[in-house]
This record gives sequence, structure tokens and C-alpha cells, in this order.
Amino acid sequence: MVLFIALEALTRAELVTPDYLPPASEILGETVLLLGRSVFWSAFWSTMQACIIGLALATLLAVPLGLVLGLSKWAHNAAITIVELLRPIPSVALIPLAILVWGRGTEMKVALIVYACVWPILFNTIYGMHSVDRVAADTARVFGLGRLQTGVRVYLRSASPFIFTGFKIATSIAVILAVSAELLAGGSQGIGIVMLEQASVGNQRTVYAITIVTGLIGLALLGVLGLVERRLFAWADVEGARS
Amino acid sequence: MSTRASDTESSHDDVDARAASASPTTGATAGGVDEGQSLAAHDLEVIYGEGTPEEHHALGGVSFSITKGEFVAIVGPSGCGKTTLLRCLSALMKPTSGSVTLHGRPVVSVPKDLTLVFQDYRRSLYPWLRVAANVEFPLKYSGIDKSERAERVRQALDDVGLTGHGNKYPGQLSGGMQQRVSIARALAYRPNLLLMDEPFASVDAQTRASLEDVLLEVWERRNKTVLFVTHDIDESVYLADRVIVLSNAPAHVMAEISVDIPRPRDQIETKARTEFVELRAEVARLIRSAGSSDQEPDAPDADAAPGPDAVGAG
Amino acid sequence: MTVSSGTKRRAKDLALQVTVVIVVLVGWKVWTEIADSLFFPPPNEVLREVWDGWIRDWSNTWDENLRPSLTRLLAGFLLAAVLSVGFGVAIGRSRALGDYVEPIIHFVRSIPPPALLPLFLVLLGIGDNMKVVLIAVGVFPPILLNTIEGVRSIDPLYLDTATAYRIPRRRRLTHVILPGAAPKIFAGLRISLSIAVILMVISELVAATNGVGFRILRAQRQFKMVDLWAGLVVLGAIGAALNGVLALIERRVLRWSRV
Repeated sequence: MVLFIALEALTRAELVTPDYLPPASEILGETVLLLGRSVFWSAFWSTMQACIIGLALATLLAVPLGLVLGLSKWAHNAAITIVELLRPIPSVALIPLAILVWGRGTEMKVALIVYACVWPILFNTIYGMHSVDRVAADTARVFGLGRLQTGVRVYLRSASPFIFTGFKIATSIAVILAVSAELLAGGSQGIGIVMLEQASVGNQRTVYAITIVTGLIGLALLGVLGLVERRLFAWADVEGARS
Repeated sequence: MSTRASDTESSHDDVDARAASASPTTGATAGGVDEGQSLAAHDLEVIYGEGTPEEHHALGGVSFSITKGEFVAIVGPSGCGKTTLLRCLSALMKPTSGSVTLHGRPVVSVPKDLTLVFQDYRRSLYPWLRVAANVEFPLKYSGIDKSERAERVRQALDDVGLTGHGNKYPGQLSGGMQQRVSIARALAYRPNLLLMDEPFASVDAQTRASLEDVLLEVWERRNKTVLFVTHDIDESVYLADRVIVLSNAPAHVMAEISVDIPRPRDQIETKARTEFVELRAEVARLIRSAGSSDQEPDAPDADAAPGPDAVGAG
Repeated sequence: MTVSSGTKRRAKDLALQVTVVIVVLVGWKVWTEIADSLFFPPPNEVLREVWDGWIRDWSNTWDENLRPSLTRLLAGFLLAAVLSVGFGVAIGRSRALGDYVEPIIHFVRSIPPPALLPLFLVLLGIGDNMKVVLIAVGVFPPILLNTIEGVRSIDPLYLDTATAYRIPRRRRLTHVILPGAAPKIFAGLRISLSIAVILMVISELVAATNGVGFRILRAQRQFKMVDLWAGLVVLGAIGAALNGVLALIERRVLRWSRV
């Protein structure tokens, strides 16, 4: 199938070559070259760094909080209300604010990512806690497991697929935020910066190439997450969790 | 209603021979357009997944015909291909070999005066249309004007006992009511030929009994021709003029049994009659033997009691 | 469950929600007092600015900020919606077409939407057209994929019924396929709305001279924190309103599925 895409793109390009679409072969060539350039990879790593740190922090904050809050029904309702309140404000709109508060560096990106990612992880953790099979929990108690043990063995395990779904959602949010922040805040490192630079210079081919690579990386990321999910949670039947 | 004489049918006869042996009440002529013979199947064969490991020979040469105004039931063991047969007859699918004719002319696409009532009403009524809209739906594209459509819808809903429910969504109705809507839809369409695929199978016994009577009443009043597929033996004998028994897959016609019980029929009275009990037993025996082994097509039923004509034919 | 207990529960939920909102507002105020940070003005000032700067000055607000933003957003969104539903139905009906096209769509979808901005900057400059196209392209994949899935998930018996009753092909499209796929299509529309808003905001933050996003940017440049926060609140209100409208439309169209 992928072959077909490549073939299609190539043939199409030779037919339609205004300024908009440089020939596909050239784009492909540029892409390959790009992958070899260390500048690209260091920029990529900058972006990823912010994402990873931000996600880790968000998870560390949100999961325990969610586990605790998930035990109480009204905490759940309260959390939903807050999430619904904040949801309409797109986190990208907070970038100007974040720049003022934290400057233009990685710190700013991380802060933003933590803020934006806490909510989906928190929400899905709570949701997961609520989806725990009552019977499973009671069975554990009947077999004499203490509260803590029940908490960990039954609740955590049952909620974990949901938590993972929240994590997946948070990952895409993190990437979007990181790239957006870079687009807006020149003077830092990252893929967004590189793209913007190339765009302002008018290097169509490079911009295309970077965009394509970004997409490929995105696909790879999705694939890896999906794989992990399948291996860890094959036993679960997760109804779509909410973002 | 007079009783119908039995037809001698052979699955290997061609159209002309069958026409010649058709019952006297229809006055059939050999060849050409036959007014009396509504629908006929000629040696229908259906093989699913031919050539693959999952090859399934559903129909193995099914032939029979129905005359205008008849009520014919088809029974057979589960999974013997009854639905496949109906789909071929209504041109929803093409058979691997063999053909279907309507009034003597071959059927290529869904004929205008034929309609099919599906078994799974849940999946055939459109949940996004209200009941009345569902019933009206097929009529909108037949060039019938608005007031006539409304009248037909009203009458059809009355016929099946759902007056006043036109404004509800199918999701708000019970299973039996939904199936009645499905039937009402078929009735409003006013086809001459009604094919029904186990329409009462998913419905509880009491609802089934009342639906059976509704169907009989509509059939008599509106003079339709009905081909009714079921796995319920009692139902088949109760409703029909003639019962066609199919064998296991690859299915072929094992027997055609004429039901001479007078009409109008009654759920309690008719089912207590000796003829009913005997006919029913005969059909049951045929089906049981069909389920157990390859049925030899030409063995007549040695237990044929005097009374209704019973002919075992292949 | 009796009627009264159901309403009681809902009243309790509502009371809880209102309490939470109040707690949040109060907490915000308290925290800003304590932190005394320039960057986090107290809520009462922000809300007052929303009133003074935005609502009172309505016609100006409309021309300068709301209309440009909403026009870009809706134009891009609707353009993508119409095209992708159209294509989605066609692709959903044809297995072969799907096999060709779907990998490409999945690929485009995994490009984080903001990463499309530089590409479109280079190709189309900084005008309104660029923004509309950007939004349209960003929003296209989810709607398309959902439409395809929706069309594929239509029970074949619905189509068989239409064939059995000899319904003409064009009607089959409007009366069977579209309603049948509608639930999934709306799910796609919901996801796409938030992507559209994100793209609109970003494009206005990077390359615009009017619009809500631009106004936020300008406030940032002038260090007018209260203005900035007011802009955020307005943006949130717009987002909520749009989501609400979509939800209303969805509820009306999919009335039959609630039954």
C-alpha cells in the first residue's frame, strides 16, 4: 500500500508542477537528506525533551490524584466540572501567557505541557477508577486483602487501560503544544523553529520534507503506543475514554 | 376457499413440462407468458466461496412454482439455505446456476410487484424514520401522490393493528410491533407477491399467533400470493395451502405437501383437527430424516394416510 | 426510579457544579492576592475587562476580532466538512478506493496540526485564504475517517431493504446512507471542531492583523495582562458556544437514537 502512495505521488508530481508542489522525487530526496542532518535531529530532540519531561510530570501529578479522587463520587463530579470549564480554552492560546511567565525556553514548553496534559490523564484515571468491576473489588476483599492491597491489585490494574488511554491522548496534546510553542516563540530550539526558519526563507522543499518526517514520526509514535497498549492491556476491553 | 389439488413436481423437469402438469385451476399453457404461474424457481444452485476451503453448497438444484393467490410455506432444517433461496427469488442475489421466472419471464432485478419481508426487523426498519415514514418510504418513489400514500399507510397500519402509532420511532416499539411495522410496510407497497423470511421467528408465541392470523386475514382480503419461509412446522401447516419441504444443504425440494384443511382457519380449532396433526407429523418426519442423512430424492413416504394427497418428489 | 429522585439527583449535581465554579473563582482570587504576580490578575478585574473591552464595544469587537476569527473558522470547517463527507461516502462504498486512500489520510492525520502552519505559510503566504485552507486541511482527516467508518458500519440489511423496495440510487444516498452514518460523522465533527479552533488560534498568533488570537497577541506584546486574560476568557466562551451549537444540531439530527 505504501508503495502505491509513493508511486501515485511521483506520477502526480510530474503532471502538476507549479510553485506549490515540487516534484515528489525531489521532496523524497530532500527528506532522505534531512534524516541525515544532525541539525534536524537535535531540533527534534529538543522538542521531544520538552514533551517527555512534561508528560512525565503530568503523569506523576495526575495519576495519584486521580486514583484518590476516583474513590469518591463527588470528587469525580467536581473534576468533570472543572475540566469542562477549562476545556473550551485551547491550550495553545495560553502560549503568549506562558511566554511572558516562563520565557521562551524549554521551561515554558514543559510548564504548558504539564498544564494541558494533566487534565486528560486525571480525567481518564478517575473514569477508570469508576469503571472498576465492583465484583472484582468485593472478591478481593472477601479473600482478606487489606484496603491498600485491594487498592493496588484490583483498582490500579482495572483502571490502568483507561489511564493509558488518557496518556495516549495527552501525548498528542503534548506534541501539538510543543510544536505550537516553538512556532510562536522564536529563539528556542525545536522542530517548530526549524520549520519556521525554512518557511521564512522560502525553502519549500525543506518545509515539505520536515512536515513529512514529522508525520512519519507521529505515525511511529502512534504505532509504538498502540503496540504497548496491546501487549500490556490485551485483556482489557476499553470503552472509548474521553479527552 | 377451495382446496388446491397437488402438483406433481420434479426438480429435473424443465419449464414446459411443469407448465403442462400445473394444476387445473390455473389453466396453464405450455411456454410463453403464464398468468397462472406467478413465481417459479428452476434448478437453483448456490455455492458460496466456490473453490475456497470454506466452500458451502447452499442450494443444490431447487425447483418449484407458485400459482397466483396461493399461500405456500417452505420449511426445512435450520441452516438449509432458506434465506439464500428467498434472496435468489427476489433478485437480491444471483444464483450460481439456475434461474427464476416471474409470470414466465426471467427475473433479473428486483421485480416491481414483489416484496420481501426480512426476519430481522430490527435491522431492516430505518431507526431514523418514524413508523409512518418507514411505511411510506417505498411508496415515495413509485409515483403515487401524497394523499394516496397517506391513505395506504393508514390502512396498512390498521391492517396490522398499529393504528395511531405512526408518530413513534421504531426504537420506541416492542419487537412484535416492529415486525408488524415491517409487514405494514410491505402491505402498503401493495405487491402481488409477498416473500416472507421467518418473519415471526423473533417474536413471542402469543404475538406470533395473532400475527399469523393478521397475515391470513390480509392475504384473503387483498388476494395476494404469499411465499412464507419458516422453521416452525405448526406455523407452516396452519398458514399454507401447500408446504414445500427442503432438505439439508445442499438443499433441494424433498416433498410438496398439499394442505387440504378448509379456511378460515382458527388457532385452536384447526390445530385440534386430525388432518392437521397428521400433516404436521408428516412434515416433521420429513424434516427429521432430512436432518439426519442424505435424503434419497425419490423415496415416497410410505406412511401416507388417506386424505390429503401427499407426493414425495425430488 | 421515581421522578422526584431523578430530579433530586440532577439538582444535587447542579448544586455541586455551581459550588465548584464558585470555589474555583474564589480560589483564583485568593491565590492571585497571595501570589501578587503581575501575570495573574484577579478574576474580578479580568471579568470587568471582558465587559469593558469586549462587550461594551461590541461593534468594534465584532468587526475587528470576532467576525474575522469566526469567518475563518467556519469557512475552513464547513469546507472540510462538506468535502470530507462527500469523499467519505464515496470511499466508504468502495473497498478498493479505501485501500488506496486510507493510508495517505492516516499519514496526514498523524502530522500534528500546528506543523502544517509553516508549510502553508510558505505556500500561501499570510492572508486569510491561507488560514482557511490550513483549517480545512487540518480538519479534513478526522471527519473523512469517521465518515468512512460510519458508511462502512451501516447494516447491510438497510441497503438490502432499499434494494428490495427498488429505491432509486440517489435517494438511497440521502435517505439511507447519510442518516445511517450520521452518528459517526458527528463524532468526527466534534473532534474536528477543537482542531479547527486550535489552528485558528495559532494562525492568528503567528500571522494575522485581526481576530481574537491577534488581540491576545497584541495584549501580550503590550504587557497588558488583564487584556490578555480577558481575551482568553472570550476565546473560551467562543469555544464553548461553538461546541454547544454543534451539540444542539447533533441532538436534533440524531433525535431518533436517544429513544
